[in-house]
Amino acid sequence: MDRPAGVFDIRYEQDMAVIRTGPQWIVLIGFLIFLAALPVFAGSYFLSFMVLTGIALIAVLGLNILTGYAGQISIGHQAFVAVGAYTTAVLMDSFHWNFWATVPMAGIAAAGAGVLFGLPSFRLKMLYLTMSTLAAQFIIMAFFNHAFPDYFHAVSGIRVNRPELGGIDFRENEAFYYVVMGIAVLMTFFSRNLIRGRLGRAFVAIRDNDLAGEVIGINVSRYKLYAFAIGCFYAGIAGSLHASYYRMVNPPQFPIDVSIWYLGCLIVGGMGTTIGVVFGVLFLRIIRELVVFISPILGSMVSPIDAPKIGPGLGLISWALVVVLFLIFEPRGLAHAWEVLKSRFRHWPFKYSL
Amino acid sequence: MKKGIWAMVAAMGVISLIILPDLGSKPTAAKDEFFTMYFFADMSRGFATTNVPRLLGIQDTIYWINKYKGGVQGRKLRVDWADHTNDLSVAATIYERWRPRKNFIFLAVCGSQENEAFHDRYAEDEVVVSSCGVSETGIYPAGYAFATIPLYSDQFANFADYITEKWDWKGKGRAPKLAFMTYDIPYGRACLQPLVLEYAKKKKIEIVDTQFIPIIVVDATTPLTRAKKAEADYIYGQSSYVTLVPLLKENEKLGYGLKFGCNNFGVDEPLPLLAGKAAEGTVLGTTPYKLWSEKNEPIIQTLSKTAEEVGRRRKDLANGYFLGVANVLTLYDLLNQLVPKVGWGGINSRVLRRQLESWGKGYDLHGLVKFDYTPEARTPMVARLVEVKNGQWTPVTDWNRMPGILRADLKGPYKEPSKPPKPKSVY
Repeated sequence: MDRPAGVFDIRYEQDMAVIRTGPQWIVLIGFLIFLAALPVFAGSYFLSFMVLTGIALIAVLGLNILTGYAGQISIGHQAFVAVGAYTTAVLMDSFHWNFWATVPMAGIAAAGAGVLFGLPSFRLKMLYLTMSTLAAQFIIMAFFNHAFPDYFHAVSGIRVNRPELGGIDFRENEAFYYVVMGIAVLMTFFSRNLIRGRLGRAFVAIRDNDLAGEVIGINVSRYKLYAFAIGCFYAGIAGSLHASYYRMVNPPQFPIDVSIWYLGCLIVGGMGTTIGVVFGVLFLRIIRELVVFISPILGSMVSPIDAPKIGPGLGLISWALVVVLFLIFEPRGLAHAWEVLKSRFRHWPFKYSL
Repeated sequence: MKKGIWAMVAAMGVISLIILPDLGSKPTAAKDEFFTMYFFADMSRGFATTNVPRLLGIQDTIYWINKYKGGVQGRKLRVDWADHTNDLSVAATIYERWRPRKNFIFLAVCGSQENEAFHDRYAEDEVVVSSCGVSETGIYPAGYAFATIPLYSDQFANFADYITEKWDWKGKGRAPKLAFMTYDIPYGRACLQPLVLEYAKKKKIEIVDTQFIPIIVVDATTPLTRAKKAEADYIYGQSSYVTLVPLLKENEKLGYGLKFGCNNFGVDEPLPLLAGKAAEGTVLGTTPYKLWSEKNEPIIQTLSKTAEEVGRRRKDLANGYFLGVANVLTLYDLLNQLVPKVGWGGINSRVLRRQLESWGKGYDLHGLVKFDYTPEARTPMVARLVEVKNGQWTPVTDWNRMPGILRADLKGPYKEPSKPPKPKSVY
């Protein structure tokens, strides 16, 4: 990690700390205060944007652990989000559980499903593993579409209520925002911390060279399953929040497009970095909002016949274009660009060192 | 080092200052000369074939009202629209962007997915919704969502009534046999709900097969052969014309002689154009709307003239076009009825909803469609079966009343909150 000149670690505690310098603490605390104060000055639209970004962030953090750190490419991640959503919805609807109790259960259920669909990773790698995770997307969604209609209500969907706690009604975005952001911050911290421990280092070793990892004593199969379990646990938590936010769970809410969109977030943000996930999700969500905002304006600039067709057409190409451009010009993502930017400041007026 | 940190903080501050005011929910003042309706739908993915013509229908009807009627009660209509790309998270942020606006009280949508997800919010936020996404939980329990087509269960019942009525029970010596061939998504399986199957049983229809097919059918032979082997007489599905065309052509080519049934989304103008002779007399669909072929109908004449004036092509005048027209005409009638009574100052979503509920059974919307809007009912309940004759859709039955197949727990009138908040005042 590139750090400012003159900052040395002279104790193990310093070397292990996530936040290493005073100014970093100031920025972090300032950012958390900013997040906490946001509902005071931001409107419902922006809070809704932040809630959905927070939910997507949790899901993509999970995918980052699985794909970015452990190198197990998954294009069925949204199916594990669905497992979490259905766990919360069924427990609340059919068994009358409290929302707060369903959240960890949603994570555990998705982790279980992740372990099950992670089993092929013992034998499969790369493209073949990708295909098996694609199968997970279809198998899991077919399960919710057809199995246990008395519980999953695939045709009519399951209604879910937003939670209440101590008299606070979380139906309004202002209140639900704190739930999502609280969980998102905690899970971001956990994800950041994970990579510095034994588990995270084992994941990286498997990603970089699983044979070499095995030679140095890593039980590759077990750690691959850990990666699936933890990555899908994140997806399950995101699913639980998803169910509560929309107050309805139905299979079409979990299409494969979103699984691929999650991968796009990793590519744009920078695979294998926590800050990259934050950047990637935020960047692609802003792009998406801008497209929705701009489409009718573009439509009004052309003839009435083409207006409704040209405007929406923008949505189809924008996301793909951004991902392709990043793959060509900045394959290490926004996280790398961020490191370059910081380095430029630190080394100014000299040339940056990265 | 300090410089770097402070630069970061400054950059974050600047970005926040730039982004937040734009993305925030500062309510925009309603422009007095306009009344704005809102429309969001999937216009670039799977449902674009319905929703793009629907936007054209909305825009053309607004054009006609503003030009030839001078607007509504002295104000012009206009539409704010957005494409949510069939992504619920995009739909949610669009909804939240519009929600704080004072003039956001009438929304046209099409899609069971978002209807179901936002059903409760429509009522909480008091936004009147005119929708063609008619899954039962998207519309019921009665709230602020009003449907512009009958429930899918009722549309199947309309088909079932007809085939059992026309069936030669004595000559054939057996019940009609039906195979379901539909999409493996909740919309597709709406015709497989227990209440629908019970209705088929009640009508003594024998269900011999159920198959799931994709929207774009590449291999039509296999599902058709399987249905034929099961000795089906009829095939029913929640299919759009895109799906029906290859099935009809293959049915003709193989000489199976199967008859097809579909809902209003199958009754579309491109079907006879694309399927040609294969569609003649082989597909029955339910629609509550008049048809483009009924050229003597005043509403069809008006719509044809407007479409021609605006420069629409025949392919633009698809099924969704009428749905868009119905959205605007609903608003037009509402305002014409309410403004003389309560003035523009008294227009809010609550009075719009109450007025819609007062329309009662069989409210005639300019001769285009009849709505049953009461405190309990939220859908059109009168429709016809149509089939393709001489290259165009033609009615084969008179206007039939739907049986009203709905889950018991979803029935009942809308219950207003005991202490409702003060509604938003548009003007």
